[in-house]
Amino acid sequence: MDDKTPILTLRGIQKRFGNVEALGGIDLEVMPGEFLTLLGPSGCGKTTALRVIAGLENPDEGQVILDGQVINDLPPEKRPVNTVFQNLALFPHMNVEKNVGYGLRIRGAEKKEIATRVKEALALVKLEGVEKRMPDQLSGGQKQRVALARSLVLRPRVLLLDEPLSALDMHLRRHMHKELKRMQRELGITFLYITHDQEEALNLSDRIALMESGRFVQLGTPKELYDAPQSRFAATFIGQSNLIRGVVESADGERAVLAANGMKLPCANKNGLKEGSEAALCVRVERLYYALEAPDGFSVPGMVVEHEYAGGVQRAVIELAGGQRLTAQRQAENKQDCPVGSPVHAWWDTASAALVPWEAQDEK
Amino acid sequence: MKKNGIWAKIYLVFLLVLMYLPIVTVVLFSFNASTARTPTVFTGFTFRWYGELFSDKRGFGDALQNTLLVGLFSVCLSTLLGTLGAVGQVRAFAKKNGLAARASAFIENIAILPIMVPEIILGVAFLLLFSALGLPSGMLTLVLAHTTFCVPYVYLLVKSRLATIGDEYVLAARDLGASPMRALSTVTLPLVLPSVFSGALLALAMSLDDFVISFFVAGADTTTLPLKVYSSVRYGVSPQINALCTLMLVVVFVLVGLSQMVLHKKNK
Repeated sequence: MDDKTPILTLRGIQKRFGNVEALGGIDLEVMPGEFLTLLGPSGCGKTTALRVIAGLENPDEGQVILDGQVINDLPPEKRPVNTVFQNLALFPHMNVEKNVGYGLRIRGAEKKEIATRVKEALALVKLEGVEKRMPDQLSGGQKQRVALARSLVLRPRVLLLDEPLSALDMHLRRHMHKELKRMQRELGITFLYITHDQEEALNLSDRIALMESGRFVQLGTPKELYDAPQSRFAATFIGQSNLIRGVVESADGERAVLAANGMKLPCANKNGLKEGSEAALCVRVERLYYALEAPDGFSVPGMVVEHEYAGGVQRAVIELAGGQRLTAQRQAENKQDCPVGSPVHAWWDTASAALVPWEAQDEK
Repeated sequence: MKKNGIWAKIYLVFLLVLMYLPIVTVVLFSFNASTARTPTVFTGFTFRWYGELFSDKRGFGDALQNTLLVGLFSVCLSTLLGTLGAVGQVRAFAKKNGLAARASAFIENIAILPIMVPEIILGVAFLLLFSALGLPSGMLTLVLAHTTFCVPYVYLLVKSRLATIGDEYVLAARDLGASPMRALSTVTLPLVLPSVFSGALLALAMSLDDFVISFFVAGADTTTLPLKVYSSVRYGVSPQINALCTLMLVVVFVLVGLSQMVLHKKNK
């Protein structure tokens, strides 16, 4: 398979439910073997997108193309994609073995083959010795693995995962992240993952498609989304950011100066904003530095107004001269103490802080 | 608090006595040795009436056979109709809103009408309909009428079970490669089976002891147990009737109890 040919393509997919627009024309190309995440707040249409691909919803407009074939008219059972549902939907009247073998039985596979492949699938998800248990006798993590095995045993072209880890506790989720990556590597199956958890998306994905109100707002690697957000939404939804609102005073290629609260802030201008446009500078909390002495080069003066320790991390709120408040976070080790009330200097790497447009709709 | 407790207990006992005294009386008198036509005094303990009942001097055997046949056929038919109706309705109206949702609610209301309409009215209605159609009164009309009032029991139980399980399992089955029919047979039906069974038992209990509707549609030559009981007590409640009632009571209790057990074991 040529790596340049997408395995799955969405072209202009639109879907309305009554008066509500769930998907406003989305385009997406998923490459073979990649781990792509649809990330967005609840209600942004990501689950609808997944259901359209699975065939559980029909799009009003647009095409779903799998391996070069338009599959819009194929019912879900004829599509070589499988879904791990958010609620898992393990059949309560079948034991683990029967659940995992369900798809193979439906396809009329031979008993021997079913037994072998079920065994393989359960080994892959590291769930052996519970073959005869019923779903309600399993723990949350085990159910998770059964659901994965039940889909993976069919070797789908694309595996769709709809927030499958949302029912698990933090510890188990972290563990399952590693497991998912391992399975995906071992099988080479394309994963299309859905989550509202930006940390999960950053951990797991090769690429992230960030969604808002039924549209993709940015598509790229986790690093691209983190380092170079293209909108205020992207800047605030992923990671923790300080936004400094202002007007672009001058723009010169990749560089710009933002005038905000009487300050002149040099910054990178990757989104090509024009002079005079409203914009916001996005400074990640862990990339905002502060100290009692001014550093060489760029810095702005301010005062520490809040200060806290949180598990080895120092978090400070610094108020700048114009009243703007910024949050900074740093490792607590070997750092000069800056208690509340200290006058400090704050700075950031002007090449890394991203300038994003401030749109009228951002006001609300 | 304590005073409340006592009053609550007294109230409970009063309520139970009110509800069950007549039934207890029938059971008690079925073991009464008195041979009076309508005995009112308990004179001793005997199994004699049960013996006479089983030696069948008064044609209870035919009535029992009819009752069981009508029960069997109407329960089979109503279970089939009620289950398919509930499954079909849930599938047809899944995720619809507005007009379709109201249509679905309307269908549900008319589907359970047979247990809301007074039996006497249903009886008259059946009699009228069957004579208009020229159907001779007898087993056929009994089965048709019983099927009609048995359907809602199955339909309601299956429908509420379907509502509880939702469509997630069916969607999962479709996603894993099952056609709509395969999903129905491998997932939906096994999941609603306890409710189907429970509904069928309830329907059987209703069919076995139905009197009013049977009275209108049975005709002159066909009789069921409840009809037989009625015709026998016109000249006084004989001890055999008490024995018969006690036995019917046991059967109905067992059926309803089983129905509840099946339902609660699986639908927990």
